[in-house]
Amino acid sequence: MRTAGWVTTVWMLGWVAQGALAEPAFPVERLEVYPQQFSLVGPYAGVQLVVTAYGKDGRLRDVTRECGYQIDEPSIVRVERGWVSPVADGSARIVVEWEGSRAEAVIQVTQANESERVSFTYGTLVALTKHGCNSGACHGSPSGKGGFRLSLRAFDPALDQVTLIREEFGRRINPFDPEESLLLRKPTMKLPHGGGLRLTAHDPAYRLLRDWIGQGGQLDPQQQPACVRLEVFPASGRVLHLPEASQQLAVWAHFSDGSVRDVTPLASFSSSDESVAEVDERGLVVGHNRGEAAILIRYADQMETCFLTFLKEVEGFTWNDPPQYNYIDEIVDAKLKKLHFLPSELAGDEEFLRRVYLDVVGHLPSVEEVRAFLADPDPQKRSRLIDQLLERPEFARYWALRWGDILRLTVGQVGADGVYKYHRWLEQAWAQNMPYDQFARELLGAAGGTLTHPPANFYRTTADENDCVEAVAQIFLGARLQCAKCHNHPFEKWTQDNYYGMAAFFNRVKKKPAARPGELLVYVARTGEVVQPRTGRQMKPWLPGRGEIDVELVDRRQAFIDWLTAPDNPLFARVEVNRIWSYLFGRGIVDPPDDFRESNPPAHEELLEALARDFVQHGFDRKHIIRTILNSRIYQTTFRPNPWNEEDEKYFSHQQPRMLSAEQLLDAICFVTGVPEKFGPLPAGTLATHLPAPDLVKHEFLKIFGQPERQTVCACERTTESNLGMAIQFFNGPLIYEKLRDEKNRFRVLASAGHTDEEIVTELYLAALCRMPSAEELQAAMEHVAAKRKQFEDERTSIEQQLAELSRQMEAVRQGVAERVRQHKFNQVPEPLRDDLKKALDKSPDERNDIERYLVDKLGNLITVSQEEINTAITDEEKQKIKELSEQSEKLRAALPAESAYRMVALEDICWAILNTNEFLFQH
Amino acid sequence: MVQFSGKELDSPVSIWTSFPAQVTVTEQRADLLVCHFNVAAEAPVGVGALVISSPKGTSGPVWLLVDQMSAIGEPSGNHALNSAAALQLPVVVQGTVDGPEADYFAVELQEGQQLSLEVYASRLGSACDPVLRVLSEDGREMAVADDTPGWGAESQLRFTAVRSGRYIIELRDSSYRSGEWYLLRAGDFPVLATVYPLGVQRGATVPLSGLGANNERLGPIPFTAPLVDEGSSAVFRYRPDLPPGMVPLIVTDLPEYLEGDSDADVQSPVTIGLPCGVNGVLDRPDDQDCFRFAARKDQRWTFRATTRRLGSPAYPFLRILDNEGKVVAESPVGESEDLQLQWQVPADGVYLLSVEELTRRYGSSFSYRIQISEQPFQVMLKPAKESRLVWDVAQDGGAAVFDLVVQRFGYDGPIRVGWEKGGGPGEWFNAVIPARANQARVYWRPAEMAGALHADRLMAEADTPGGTTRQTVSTAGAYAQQTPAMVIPPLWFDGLVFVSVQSPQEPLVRWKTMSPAVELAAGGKLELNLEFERVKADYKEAPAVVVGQVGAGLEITGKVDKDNAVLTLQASPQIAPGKYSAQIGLFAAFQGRTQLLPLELAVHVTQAK
Repeated sequence: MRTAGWVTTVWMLGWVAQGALAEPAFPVERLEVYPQQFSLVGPYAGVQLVVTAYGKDGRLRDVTRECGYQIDEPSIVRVERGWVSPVADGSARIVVEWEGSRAEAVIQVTQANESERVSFTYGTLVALTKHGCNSGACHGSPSGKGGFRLSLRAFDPALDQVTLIREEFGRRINPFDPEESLLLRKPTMKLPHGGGLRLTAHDPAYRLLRDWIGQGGQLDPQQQPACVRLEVFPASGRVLHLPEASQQLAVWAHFSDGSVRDVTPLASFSSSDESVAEVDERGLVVGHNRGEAAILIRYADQMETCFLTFLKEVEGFTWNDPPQYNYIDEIVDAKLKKLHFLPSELAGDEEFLRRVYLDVVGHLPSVEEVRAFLADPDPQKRSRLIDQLLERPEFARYWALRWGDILRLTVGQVGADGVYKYHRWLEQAWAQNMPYDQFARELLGAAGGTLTHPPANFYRTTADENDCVEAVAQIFLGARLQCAKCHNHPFEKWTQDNYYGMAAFFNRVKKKPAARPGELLVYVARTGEVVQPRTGRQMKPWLPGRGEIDVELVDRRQAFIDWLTAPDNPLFARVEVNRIWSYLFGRGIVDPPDDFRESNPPAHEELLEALARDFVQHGFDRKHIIRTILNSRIYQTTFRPNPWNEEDEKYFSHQQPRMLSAEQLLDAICFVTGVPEKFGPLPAGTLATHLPAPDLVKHEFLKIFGQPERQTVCACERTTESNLGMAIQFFNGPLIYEKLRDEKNRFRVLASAGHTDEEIVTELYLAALCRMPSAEELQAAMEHVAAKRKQFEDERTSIEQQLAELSRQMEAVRQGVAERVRQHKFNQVPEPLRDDLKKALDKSPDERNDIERYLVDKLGNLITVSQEEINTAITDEEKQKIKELSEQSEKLRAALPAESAYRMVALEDICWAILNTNEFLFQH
Repeated sequence: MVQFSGKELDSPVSIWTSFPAQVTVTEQRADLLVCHFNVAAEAPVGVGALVISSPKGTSGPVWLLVDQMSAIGEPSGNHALNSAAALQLPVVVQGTVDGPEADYFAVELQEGQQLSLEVYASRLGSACDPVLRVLSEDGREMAVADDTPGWGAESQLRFTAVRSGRYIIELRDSSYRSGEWYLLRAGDFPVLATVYPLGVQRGATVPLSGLGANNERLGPIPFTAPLVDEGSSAVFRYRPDLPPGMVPLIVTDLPEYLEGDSDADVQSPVTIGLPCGVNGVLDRPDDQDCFRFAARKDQRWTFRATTRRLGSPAYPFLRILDNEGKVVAESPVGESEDLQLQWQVPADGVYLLSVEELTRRYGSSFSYRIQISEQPFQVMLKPAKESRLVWDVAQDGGAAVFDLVVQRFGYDGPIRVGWEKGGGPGEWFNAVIPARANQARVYWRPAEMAGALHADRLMAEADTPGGTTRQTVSTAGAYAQQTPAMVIPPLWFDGLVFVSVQSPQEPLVRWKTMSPAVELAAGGKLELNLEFERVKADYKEAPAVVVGQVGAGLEITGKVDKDNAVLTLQASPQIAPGKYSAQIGLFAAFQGRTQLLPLELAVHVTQAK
């Protein structure tokens, strides 16, 4: 018997009016509840109400968890956090109220207390998925956990059936006492469980599992309706305003018999960007920061995505209407304005020049090119420069390097001769601006000898049809299919059947050795089918969006290529323009650029779509897209953020600095120092950015700085994350050290040619950073030169003094010997004359009398000492002493710096310092 | 005038050429040999070879190009744009690639003038893989050519000057090799990959079209196949006074059918009679050429495609269809360059030969020839590095040894091996491949003085049910192992072997028994031990017993046991009593030398017991 009257549910904040209140923060125009009416059938049914408040200012707000719920018949239904569950058959009206506004929902309940079969697929397996039991880290891993193995996210119900019902003699479930089943006791921690507490008795999943077990653990009948799609409320596109930016989601499963169930408590939720918004297990999304987030919702084998935008008021933000150079700026600005990010200022000429050279041709401009550009007053000079760079041969070579990464162009894969030919083909494709659809066609439809027809190497680098389909998918569809080889993809709609269905286009491609050494012949067999390894089913060729198709052609690849390159293919153009964008901005609109999936949405869908459309309309002209992007204001903004965009990392309000690639860095160092590298057999002057393959000429510096091995087609293989090895290379690595000491390096040559220190330092700045040094920088450099000069002078003086002292000591030893000899000789003079002679010698010649002069004249030479006599008289100890002093002198003389040496040392220091700046190491 | 450099060139030499020429030695030193070649006017143009032999050794085949343009050596110092060597057209330049430094040549062209460039390298056994570019005087790339479909690494290019002036030709190796040589032909001549038809019946005159790699098609011109073919080429010119473009073709004794105007597809196949050659071009996507023929049950036909050896890039895939269109046979995709299908006819009827392109690539140069003949066996020199085509053997004892591989298709009987032209005085040993054997080792011992040089083709012959079958022992596989750079030796070279007689050497072994005589009853068997001694003390290996000419009805096998040759003689029951002779030999090989020591047995056959 129902209880008459109203039962009011008091819920959360703001419900009770407290006398005279301030003006409400969110003036409500109206309140809406969704759904407004619904029928609940059976004991497991329920519905998630979503209550939205619409403000007078045009904003909206989800108040599902904040509003109050009044139920006229509480014996019929109950409501908890907006979730309505049945109590008994009948009809109930629920009034929601928030901030004085009301709305109503009518719920009809039938069969509330009748027993209902719990579906194995849509009850049991969904319950296990919801609580992560069959995730890859737990029982869904290939080897399971604790002897209990489930299929990953229930993609293989047949396996799960065996595991749950039959395996281990069915000990996992206890139909006679369901709550004693291992399947329930373990995750509720009634028994030790390595996975911890995964389930509580209050969870809807618990009830389903318990009841399923109690019903005998039955399987679904043949005619079990299948879930065919999910519907999410609200639909994508809702804009929420921080700080009160939460959103309850409701998830509806549509079945093949036309029935619809609200499965919100059983759906799995995840957010694409948790810095923007997080979502809990009940589908409540909570915004943290402005931006966009995609909430991925999964239920059984269905997936759906709900895109939400979160805005916040930014103090002081005023849109400044920056100039828009093309449609890219229009579209990007629209979003920035909406999200309240102010774009940074335009980059100066120096910053732009360095950036565009590195992005387009891969290397720095020459000093003359820098000077000319900076001095050019033409307002169109940037556009003109872009056009010129796109026509230079280095453009083709540099972008061939990028595609060499993607296509796994290595000696190990395609042979020593093949590397050159394949690389040359890539370079020619870029040089001739081969349309991208033709490029894909030539690669994917290639056949013949791998040396004579280089694109055939695409198949040489794929081990088998599985590797081939993974490579094709990742390169041309931006889809990382690898997971789907063994099971349905956990994060995307790709199924294992899809994987093998796509492989059916490529399985007939065969290879055999050709007569020419090092060549393989790629050809297409007339027969051969793909068998799905799990189901044993022979797979028909399958295309995304079209399903299985019949292909009568011998070469089935043609059918795939025709589909791939069709102008209306939703993926082909988007993936390539995104890739190009990622090269020019350091980050794709979809990032990583080869990972397109529902749960990884574009940062800017409209931009991506516009670029793709432009690309197709211009005949898949890649140069056109590159040119368009480079000419946009967005590309030409500075890297320096402003207070209104410093949080932004994905909406392109400013450029993001990124480290030069390994090859760019090596080339830049060689260029600045003026000392080129020689790469094995390649001609002198070959740049690192023009190397055909990383294993053609192995270079330690390149490896340390992230040159990829090209073992995968993944863009992620090239890394510029800094590490200790990189730091050591720059601090005192042999490469930089030797170039700084090279006799023919840039500053030595300039010095020899008579340039002043200021001129040399200026040129180093222009070479390395594409700008003049500031007054402070120049002064600091000159001070360093002066300090070095003084240091050298002081050192010279000190050494000279030491040399003088050593010389004096050596002379003292010699004088000692001479005196000894003289004394000995003096003692040979007869005694009577000795004193007189001594007296005479002590006098100066003018002071001597005649006798004394006579004595000196006659006897003086007897006491003169010759060098020979010194040499004879010198002792071993004295010789040793002189030798030691002499050696010390030699050492000091060797250490004596040349008078001008200070200058080269100072310039080495300055050059080293420039090379160690972030401004040099990074592109910005 | 041709200059050869090497070692030990100061002995009297014999020079063999694949083309008719008078050769005069004009200068000779140990490291240098200069010869004047007076090439006969009727000599076929194209790839030729010569072999130089002296008592001190023999060169391998020296490949060259017989051309109608004069040749010069590459000037030195032409490794930069501004030091490009000036060329007077037309000309052939012989040069070598120099690693990272490209070779540069300069030509003066008028506006609209066309320049053809063609590099011969791998066709002449060089490992050079050329890349050709035509540059403007300031270094801008105007045209580039790397590999030529059909000719592999070779480069071909036809360029039209957009304005009068100086143009630079750049040539380097694709992988920056150095030291490998090339011939660069420059002039105004057709740059051709192949011809159609590829096969022409001996003595017949057919319209011949030259096919370029870039869909260029010249002709047709009337071509009369020579009666004696030692490497024919078709020659095309834009004008009689201009140099030629040359492409090889096959001259055969079989009737040759052409695809014809009807395109020979399934609906309108060309009717052919077997044996024959069929010729076509796979020039359109999904092109399928069909030829209809009648065949009788149990006939065995071999369908052998020739394409790449003659410059065509096609890889024909062959299928036989019955009257209802069902596939009854198809060619396996093996490792050989030439696809082959061997088929035993299941029942009398009319069948279709279907020819398609294996790689699904097509073009006007995808010419093919399929020879359809009864080939009950094929014999080839074992494709291994050890299989030699050039032998230096000592006078009075040396022998050339050939390891052969046999593929049988319906014939299991014995196969005789010999020379096409007789091969000069000498003896064969083990020259009959036994019935059902799939491999054999045969020996030839020349009986000439030092200085003699044999150049002849190995042939295999057997009395098959359809008559005597005689065919060339293929040496192409063996040569490819030894000279991998020469991916496609010319067709005329197949089977050719060179044996040069050198100065006598100390023997390795010697018979102790001379001229033994034995008595054997008809139907009987006898074992005989013949002792030999090792003359060369450090020769320790076991020699092999080989069998030469043996009287009909006698069979001899032998093995070596220590220093004895143990022979087993068997007389057939039908042999008539009388005196017979049997030639046996002892073969020894040591440190690159060979010796075949013959011995004649006198066998007196008596009445059966």
